[in-house]
Amino acid sequence: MPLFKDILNRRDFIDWLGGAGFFVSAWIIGKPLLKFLFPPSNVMEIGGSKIAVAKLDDIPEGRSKTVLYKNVPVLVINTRAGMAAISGVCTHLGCYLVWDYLKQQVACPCHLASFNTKGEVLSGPPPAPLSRYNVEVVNGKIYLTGFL
Amino acid sequence: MRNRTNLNNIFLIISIFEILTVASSLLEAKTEEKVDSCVECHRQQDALLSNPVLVWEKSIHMENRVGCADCHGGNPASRDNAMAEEAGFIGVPVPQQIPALCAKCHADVKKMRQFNIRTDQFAEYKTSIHGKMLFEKGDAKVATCISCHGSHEIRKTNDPASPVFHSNVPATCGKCHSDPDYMKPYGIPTDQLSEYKQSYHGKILFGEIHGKNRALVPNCADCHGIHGAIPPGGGEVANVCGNCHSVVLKSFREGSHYTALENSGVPKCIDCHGNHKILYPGIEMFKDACSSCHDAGSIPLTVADEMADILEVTRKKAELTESSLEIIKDSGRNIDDLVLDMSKVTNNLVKSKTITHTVDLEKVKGLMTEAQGSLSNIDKKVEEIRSDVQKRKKFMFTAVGFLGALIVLLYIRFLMRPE
Amino acid sequence: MKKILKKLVDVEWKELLKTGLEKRFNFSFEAQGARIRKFLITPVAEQFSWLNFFGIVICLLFVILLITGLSLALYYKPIADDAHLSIKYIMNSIPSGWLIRSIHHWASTLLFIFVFLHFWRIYFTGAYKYPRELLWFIGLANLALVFLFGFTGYLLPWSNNSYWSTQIMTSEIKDIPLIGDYIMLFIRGGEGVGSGTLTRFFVSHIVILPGLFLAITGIHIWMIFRQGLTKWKSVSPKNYRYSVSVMLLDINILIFVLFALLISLSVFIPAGLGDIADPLRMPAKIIPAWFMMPIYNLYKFFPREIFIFNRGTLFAMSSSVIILLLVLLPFLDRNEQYNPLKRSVIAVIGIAGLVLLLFLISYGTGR
Repeated sequence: MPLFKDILNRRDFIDWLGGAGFFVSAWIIGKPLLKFLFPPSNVMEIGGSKIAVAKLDDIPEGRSKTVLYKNVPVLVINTRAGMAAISGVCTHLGCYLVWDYLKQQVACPCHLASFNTKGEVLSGPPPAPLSRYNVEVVNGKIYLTGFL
Repeated sequence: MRNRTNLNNIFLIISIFEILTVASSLLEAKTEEKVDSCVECHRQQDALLSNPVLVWEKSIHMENRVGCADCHGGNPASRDNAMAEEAGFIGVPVPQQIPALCAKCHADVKKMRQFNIRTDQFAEYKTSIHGKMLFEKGDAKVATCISCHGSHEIRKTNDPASPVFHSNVPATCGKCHSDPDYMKPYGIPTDQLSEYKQSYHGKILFGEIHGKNRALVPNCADCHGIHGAIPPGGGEVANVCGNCHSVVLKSFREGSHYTALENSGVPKCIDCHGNHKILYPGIEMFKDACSSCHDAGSIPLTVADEMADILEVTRKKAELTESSLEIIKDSGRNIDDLVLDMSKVTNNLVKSKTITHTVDLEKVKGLMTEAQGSLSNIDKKVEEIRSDVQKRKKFMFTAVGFLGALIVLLYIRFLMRPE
Repeated sequence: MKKILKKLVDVEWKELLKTGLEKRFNFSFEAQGARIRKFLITPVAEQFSWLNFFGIVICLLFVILLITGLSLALYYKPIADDAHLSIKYIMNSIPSGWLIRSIHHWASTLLFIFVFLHFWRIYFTGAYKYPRELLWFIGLANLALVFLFGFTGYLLPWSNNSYWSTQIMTSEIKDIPLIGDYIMLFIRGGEGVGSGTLTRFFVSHIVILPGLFLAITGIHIWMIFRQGLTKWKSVSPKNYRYSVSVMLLDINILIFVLFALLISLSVFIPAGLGDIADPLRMPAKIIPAWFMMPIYNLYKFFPREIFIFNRGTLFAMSSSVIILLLVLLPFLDRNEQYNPLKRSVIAVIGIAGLVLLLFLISYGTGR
């Protein structure tokens, strides 16, 4: 690394500037590229047919969480019999469903429809049951792997 | 020995002959039992007389062995004297006879239990307008059982070819009720069918709107009653509509319009929404429907305007936020959580359609304020993302400027080259 | 202990390394250094002008595409629906993912533009004439490879538009007589466009085509060095000594300019990503990639049937004629003239072709 006192004339100074500039430009180009190569740790993975949607710790027993799976809201419910995942869109007029913790049922806030954790209509105007998704829990992470 | 054989042969021949005679007589007896002389004879006649047989053969009555004599009387076993008055033959029944004729079986609980068919049709019919006019005024033009169900070609009500199948009912009622000449003596309108066809219910029933369940929309009978057909009375309309629109009825009962209905008989559902031509409700109803009862400048109209205002404002805001989400979809930040927040806003907007029936401004305001709050949160986050994008532009300008400076530097170096 | 340390410090590590390498690989740093210095001050051919830079830009862009493409391939998943999700993931969740992908997208657009410019430059300045016919063939092969790069790369995001435009383009191939069905089956990896197609396109895009391109471009560049530039008066003669080191400076400036251009384009117009591909839902407007538009529009131009020929046969015949003319160009144009202003026939045909190409690219916006 040439020291400043070695630079005697303008040409060498320009050379030195050019070298420094080269390194800076390499940093400008290379830093995003380098950051790109290291995937972030706190973001959910996607991969194969399994998509991680939530962590097991996020959903206590008896509660549920709404996640987006392939652009569709899905209710992931922690029932006593295991995890269940059903479509989060009501088959009546398309309202987004909520989990009624007290009744342990899926409810639609618009016209009081209710479904069970298998997506079957219990009461109300919906004409069709909800579609179900296949859930797997691996290493504390919840994966959805397509329809059941 | 020859004698013995001859005798044996004769006995054999005689016994065979006897068996054959008995067998044929048995067979004859069976076929004789199945003789339905009505069907046999009428089938061979010309079109007018043979038609009943041909259509009856496709009907549910034929499947359950209800024959000509069960309604018309007479003796089907006899070939010569089937249409005998002593055997109960009544010929073609007159309209006044028909309901009781059908009720002979269809009001008999013991007979109908096995088929799981209701038995109150005749009793209901007697309370209906059709029944009253038929029995009290002797008007033979009204509908009787056979006007809707057919006379010989009766099918089950869940058979799509039946005139009383769910989506065929309007056309069946319309056969009389849309005919102005037929309905002239009664002085009631004949535009119900054409209005119904333009309505949201009608469009779904006749398949013009897809993606909806036809079996869930009402036809004439669902609102007016099947056999006890009477247009619902003033106090009954809300309950009739509320049979399907239950949550709306619940909201309606909480509001001042319901109190008014109980006291003065208005407003009923049909006063704002129409009776046959019920269109999909939109924001314009606040202008058109409210002013039909309330005076201009009155408090209720002001309330209506405010409600329409806040609903429209929230809806427009939601549209804007939706489109801004669409724009920043691929700007380098995962917006799944924002999409889920947007779904809650959509919920509120759908709920608002029900809550307006309480005509309570505070309730509507509460719902819409909540929605607007979520929308502002989403907008804030969208702004953050936008400012990120702006930061990128700044980074780009500095980077490009730096590269430009480097290019100038290189050019200077080039100028200073040794020769 | 101190003795060992002293010994370590006293050793001339640089010298040790130098002599070690020289002995092992039988060369001398001095000699090689002198050769490089001599090369750097050799003058570049006098007729070297700004027109000759197009090919160099193509190489630079290719290197950029290679690096960004390799980075993208670290996260891309070549399976039907996951492809789209992985690209969404790259755009939204990986730091600078949007930048790398947008640079890749814009570099590929610029590559097409510069390939076109290079092609027209060679055509107009007659650089295909004797003795450079083989260079011309190799260049045409490169052109075909670049088209295939674009075609295979366009399907990879697995968006609805790219799925359906690939479906249309590959079904047009079926109409080619005799061999059309086989070609289509080979390209599609199945009856319709599906996950088999995606795998094939992905492998072509990152293994087969880059390998072929590097080999063919290598041969191309070696031939240029061997045969030298065409000898005609330069477009912009220089009054100073244009040595190799000065050309390297110009290339350096070009690299910076390219970076600046790519970064600004990426920030202002990032690469887009449409809906996920839905084989059951054909969109109202299917717009094939812009570089495929000439082929697409040419195909659509032909009527469905003339006499016994159907559209595919007509298209195959006409494109075979065009390709044949292009390939045989060095043998059809035999005079020694390089200046385009003095070769009116060629120039007129060239300009007509250019106008036609621009028209075909911009005509219509898909079905």
